[in-house]
Amino acid sequence: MALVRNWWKGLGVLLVLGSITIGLLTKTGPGVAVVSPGVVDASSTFSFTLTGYNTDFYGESAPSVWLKYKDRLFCADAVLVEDIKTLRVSFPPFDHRIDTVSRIATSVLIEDEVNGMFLGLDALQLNFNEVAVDTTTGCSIRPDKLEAIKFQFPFRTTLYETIRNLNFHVPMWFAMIAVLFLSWIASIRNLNSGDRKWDHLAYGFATAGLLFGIAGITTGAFWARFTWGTFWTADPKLNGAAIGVLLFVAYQILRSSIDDEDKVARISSVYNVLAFPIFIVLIIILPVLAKFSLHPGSGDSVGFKQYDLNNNLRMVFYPAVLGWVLVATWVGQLISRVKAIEEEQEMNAHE
Amino acid sequence: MSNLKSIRKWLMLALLAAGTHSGAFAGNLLDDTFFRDGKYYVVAGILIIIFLVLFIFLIRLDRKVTKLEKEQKS
Repeated sequence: MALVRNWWKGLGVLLVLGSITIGLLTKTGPGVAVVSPGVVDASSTFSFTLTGYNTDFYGESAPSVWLKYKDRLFCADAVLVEDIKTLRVSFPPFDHRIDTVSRIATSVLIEDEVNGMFLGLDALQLNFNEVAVDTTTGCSIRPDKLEAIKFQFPFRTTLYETIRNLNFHVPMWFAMIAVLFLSWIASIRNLNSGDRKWDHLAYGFATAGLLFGIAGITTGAFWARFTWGTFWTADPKLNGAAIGVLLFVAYQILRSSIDDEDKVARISSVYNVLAFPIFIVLIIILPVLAKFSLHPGSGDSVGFKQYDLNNNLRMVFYPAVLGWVLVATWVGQLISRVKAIEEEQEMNAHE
Repeated sequence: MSNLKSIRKWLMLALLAAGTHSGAFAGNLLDDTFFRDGKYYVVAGILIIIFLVLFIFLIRLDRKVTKLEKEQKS
């Protein structure tokens, strides 16, 4: 019977364990780690060395390389495979500029049968001496848009393998928002009914929310240190989240600063009813409105647009979110149950 | 009280260790771990932080339940 009633806790544990397992075992797809030199003179023959990440250039077919500028593609003259992750690529000179400015950033596109098609975004800058502008479409050989069949996460420079942290760091925030919403509902019901059991639930879920908020902030800061280079930076998303978490630190302080149990329940409920909408504004609405943010996901608040090409991240991310929301609900429920017993014992002690 | 003292002692030791490391070794240490190859250590770090937070919760819950059990008996 207890097993049937607690099915959601089991589901939460399964989803969390599953998302950690698949999130750790999935490989990161091939990518361009370094293009050297990064700036070349395009008016004469030029070449560069491309260092790949998670690539295998020892396949049967030689890789094809293009330079991509907007929707135009330019074919390489020669591609030499130096080793499993290094290519030496040469291009013929450009007779004309391909845009009105004298320097443009082009992306390097690589395709072969083993790695599929992948792109080094804005990896190579071209300098032009000629003034005349050429608008031809570039070369006629187009990529076949081969896809590597393997299930893999997309490669991003600076992120490397840490792209999978999306499945661990972001669900913390979803879990926090979910249990704080439950806490908000419980606070409203407590104010309506005056039944103390709703206050226990409100307290439990708010505490669980704070716990997951702290996990979200610390994992985020740690991830930022080794990708952006700093634990913290003045950014609308980061500061919004920090103030959001502080709102619920204040909730805890408010509760512990009042002695009368009845007053604790009512005052903290009123505070919670007001705090949750402000929290939502800080953590969802303001970041979406912000014009600049280092943190990915302006407008979609998670960052898929920037991170995902092949939907594989999503397939791990959504189960992870559901799993952590269920686990956070479980944590909140446990805290509220202990709270209920605590209060009952205190009442018995007074009698 | 002795608890607080031992915490302070460990904190001092940790700071001392961090201090001696930061001068000569910290650069290499970071390059060898969190900045190495695919930055895979960062993923491990993130998971450890999440489980640390969960364990802190467990310890707190354990303490509360122990307190309740004692009161129940008395």
